[in-house]
Amino acid sequence: MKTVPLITAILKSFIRNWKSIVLLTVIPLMIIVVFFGSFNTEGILGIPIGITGLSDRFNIKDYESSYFSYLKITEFQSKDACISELKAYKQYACLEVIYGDAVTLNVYYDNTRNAIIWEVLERIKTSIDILQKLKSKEIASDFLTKFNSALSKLLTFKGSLRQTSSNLGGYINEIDNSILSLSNAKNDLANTINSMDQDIADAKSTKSDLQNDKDEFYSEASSSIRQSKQALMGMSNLTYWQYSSWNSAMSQLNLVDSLINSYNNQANAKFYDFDQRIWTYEESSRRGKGYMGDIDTYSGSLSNTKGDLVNYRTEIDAANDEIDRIYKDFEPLMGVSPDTLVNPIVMLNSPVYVPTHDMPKPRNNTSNTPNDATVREVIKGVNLIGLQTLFPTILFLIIIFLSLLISSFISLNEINSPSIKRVSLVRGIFFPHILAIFISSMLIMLLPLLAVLAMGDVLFKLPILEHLTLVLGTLLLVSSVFVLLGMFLAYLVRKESITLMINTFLLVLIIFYSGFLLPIEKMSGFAHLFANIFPGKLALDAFFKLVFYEQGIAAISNEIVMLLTWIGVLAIGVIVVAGLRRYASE
Amino acid sequence: MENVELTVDSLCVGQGSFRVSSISFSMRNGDIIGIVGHSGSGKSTFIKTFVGLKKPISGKIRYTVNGKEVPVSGAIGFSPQDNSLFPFLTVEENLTIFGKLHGMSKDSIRRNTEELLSWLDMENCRGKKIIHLSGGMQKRADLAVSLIHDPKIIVLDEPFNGLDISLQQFIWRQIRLLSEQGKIVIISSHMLSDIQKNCNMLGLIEKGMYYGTASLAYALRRSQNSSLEAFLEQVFSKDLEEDKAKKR
Repeated sequence: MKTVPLITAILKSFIRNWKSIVLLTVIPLMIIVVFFGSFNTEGILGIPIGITGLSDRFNIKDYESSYFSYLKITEFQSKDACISELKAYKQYACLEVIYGDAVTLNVYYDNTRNAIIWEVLERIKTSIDILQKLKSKEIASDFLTKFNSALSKLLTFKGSLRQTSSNLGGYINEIDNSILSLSNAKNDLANTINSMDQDIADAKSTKSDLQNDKDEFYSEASSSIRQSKQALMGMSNLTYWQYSSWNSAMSQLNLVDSLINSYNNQANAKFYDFDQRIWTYEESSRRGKGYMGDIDTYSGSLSNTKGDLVNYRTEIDAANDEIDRIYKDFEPLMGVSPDTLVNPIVMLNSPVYVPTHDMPKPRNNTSNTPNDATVREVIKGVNLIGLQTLFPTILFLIIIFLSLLISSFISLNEINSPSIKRVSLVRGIFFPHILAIFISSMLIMLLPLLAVLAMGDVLFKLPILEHLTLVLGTLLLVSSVFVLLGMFLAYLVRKESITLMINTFLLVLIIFYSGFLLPIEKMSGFAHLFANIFPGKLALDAFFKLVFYEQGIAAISNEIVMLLTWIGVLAIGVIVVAGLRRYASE
Repeated sequence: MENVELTVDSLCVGQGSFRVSSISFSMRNGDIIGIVGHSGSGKSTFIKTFVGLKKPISGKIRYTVNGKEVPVSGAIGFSPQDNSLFPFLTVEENLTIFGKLHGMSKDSIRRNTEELLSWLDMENCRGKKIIHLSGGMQKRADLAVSLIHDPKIIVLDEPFNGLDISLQQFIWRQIRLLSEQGKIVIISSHMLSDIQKNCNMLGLIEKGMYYGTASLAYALRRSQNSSLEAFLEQVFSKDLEEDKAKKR
């Protein structure tokens, strides 16, 4: 019960002391309002940028209103003219357009304006990336159209080759048939010629036999006729009758002789004729044999032709197979969209945090062509999310700063207050007094804290009010830690100037170990371990979980336990230091 | 009226090597003891120890009410040398706050506040913040707050510093009235004539020793001085000469 009147006294003293109100409430609130009001959710605007080398091939001004609305673009005749303006602080950067196979944008930037120039460059890069994507997509689209046409032609060509191969197969078969037919004909011809040769040989043999028989008959008959004639000629004194008979005989012999000669001549003529015919046959046989040679030659030629055709066909088939392989290799590209071709490996940045308030959602689908409105929306959305994620850091900086400052101020005011002598005389006042300082500090903290939270909800569109109980609870926990730290220092040092100085150094340390200056992940060893259990980091994690991912108390139980541990440890520290101080003063 | 008795027995107070020892006296209802001594003699150290702001090195403080010993701390109303109130709170608020701290009920606080403000002629100042009060009014307010919980022992450490004569007289009148109400008053002051006039007991702290009423009366008689002031002036000037001699 002693705590309440002390809290009343402390709060009334605080409120009635215009210096404390101005220094610890009005000025921080004004700073908070001015600070948060200074953020522009549209991001950077009206950045003057010079450009040289514009042409019909690439004219950035065509995209100025859509993708470069945050820039104020001025065209220069030369790069040097632009750079001289940059050096006169009239331009932030100069874009030189260089034409080659691709369009290159060489950005000369003012690196003396580091704070803003990297964001400007980043924004230009983002816009150029969008343009690059559009251009690449156009080229890829054109390429894909031609490629699809080429593949279709390849398919047609492949069909033609297949037809040619098939035709060649037909020709090869025909040649095979022709060769077979020729071979058969040759065989038939050979058989015929052989048979004819045999017949000729037989005929010649028969003729020779007949001619021999005839010649022998003729010789014998001629000889007999001659002898008969000689015999007749040798007869003399022939009677008439005899003579007549002789004459008749002679005539008959002459007739026979004549007949035989005639027959012999006829026979010889026949034999000659026969020989002629045999020669004709032999000639035919020779010619036939010559034809057989020709057939072999032609057959050989046909075989060679066939071989060539087979080779051609093999080559055509190989070409066909190659086309098949090429087609199979390239066939998947036929169904590929220009986006896929431009970005074969697409990294989709899919932010898990999707704001629930009325702000544009971040785009995570790169396949759709962004239009001007969506680009502006995305840029605005990205800016707002950037600010939203910045908010907790600012919030905790304010909490840490104000908690330390307010608690130190209240503690020192109390410790050095004229009333302390009288208050100390009250029995059992030690713990209530410490508790009163703590609660008073927390109550004074509440106003700026709520103001910051309200701004987070209204300006940064964070769902703070929806989770006010847990958010406020967490913030009060972390605030308690730093209030106790401020009290600890105040009880330890007691002198305002020294406490303020130590607070300043301590703030740097706190900011560092909270990961606001250097990411905790970059710290090593003990620093990393310590930073991970540092109240700033714990509270930041808990706040992110609550506000950004709208998780319940279970998700932040570890952080709460750790913060309570810090509170416990620091509370003991405050009690020990205050007790020691009291003991020393006694 | 309750019979109260305060006995300080061989109390030794101090800090570091500084000591004031052999502080012994006994007081009853209505007694006023004036503690005197030159600056730095240890008066305030004794007062602070007595009220509980410092721990005694040795000795005892006993307080009995109707013969029954009770803790002395709850019976003390202390008004330190300097203002000891919440400067940005009004007189009435200070009275209320300290009344509550002493565990008083709202009615008691209201009643005592009215009485004290009227008694100390501060009704017009009840709504004024302490920092806006004059030094005299601040001292009255301090006295009022010291008395809010109706203490039986009132301890005043140099209550007249910086006050004009009329205010000093006013406070002495109030002290006498308190004494008449049966309260024990312990007061440290340099105003020797007023101490001699208003206190019925005297304590001198000198060179780390406490000299009570009896020993002082003996010394006074021996020094053949008619007034305490003359006697103490003699003592202090003697000290000064000794100091000068030492320095030479």
